[in-house]
Amino acid sequence: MNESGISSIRLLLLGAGPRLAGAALVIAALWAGFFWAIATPGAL
Amino acid sequence: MWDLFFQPFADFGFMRRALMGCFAISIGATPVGVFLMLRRMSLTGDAMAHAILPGAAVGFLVSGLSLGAMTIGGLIAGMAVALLSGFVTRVTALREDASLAAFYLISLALGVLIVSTRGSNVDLMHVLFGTVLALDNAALILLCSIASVSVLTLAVLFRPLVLECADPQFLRSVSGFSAVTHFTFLTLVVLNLVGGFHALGTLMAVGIMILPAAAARFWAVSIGGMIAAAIAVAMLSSLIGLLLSYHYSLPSGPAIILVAGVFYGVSLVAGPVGGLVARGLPRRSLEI
Repeated sequence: MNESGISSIRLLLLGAGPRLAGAALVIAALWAGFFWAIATPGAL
Repeated sequence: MWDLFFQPFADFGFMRRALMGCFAISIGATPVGVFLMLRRMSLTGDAMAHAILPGAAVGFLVSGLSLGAMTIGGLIAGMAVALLSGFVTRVTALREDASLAAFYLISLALGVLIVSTRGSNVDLMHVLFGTVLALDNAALILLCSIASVSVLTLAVLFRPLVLECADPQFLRSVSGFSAVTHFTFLTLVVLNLVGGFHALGTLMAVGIMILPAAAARFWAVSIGGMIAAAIAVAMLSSLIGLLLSYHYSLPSGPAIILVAGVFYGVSLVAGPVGGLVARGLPRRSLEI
């Protein structure tokens, strides 16, 4: 792999772990909200 | 207190679906709005919101108020306008803002023409202003999926996006991600506008993308902070807008956007980062 490729990958990976973990949490909360919205009984 | 804030969502499924739909748009679209603002492309978002109209209108023409057809049509039209305006900018003397403006005005006129010749005024209002209180489960799944894809993509491409905002030349010199980042970002813009258009309509969808981002600019310095503040503003605007719409029988889309506008106004005056009051306060001599 050439130097540009390595620096591109490094650019993506730096700090990616916490960002992806945060994103996973947000997505989990979002879908939990979705199931709350469609599953809870209501008048309409 | 219960009656005012919680009873509408406890009693009515359509209110819960509306709230969740708006929350999904807030989570997916406002971070994209922050990057649009930082790249000085806020008006591009507005132009793209209008550009999706003919595609959605053709979808409407083919299969009526079908979620899938209108979504695919809107996506194709939005991407086509983005790519065409970029192409025209590269091969002619016209600047990008002018070519984008030309294409979106043509798209808007074409979209309104198609909907109004084949549909009723109600259909036209549905496309232009959305139906946030009529979101069904399929629409909600679409909105949550778009938000999930957006959040995940932004988490992966965060650093190249930040670099492209700050110094695009540098990004081009250190990695081959410049074109990929730009194209992925444009796709995210169109995707979120298409999602937002189902709830808030083509005219209002860009409001929930840009207004919270503009308000957040006055509350945070870092990009992460701005994104968090923008999402909070968008979610609060959605909640308050829906409650106002419920209690005072107001149209919900405009109510949500107007509340976001109030947040923007308050931020403009009282925001600690460059707001009017903060700018008027005397600074110590060595403070930046």
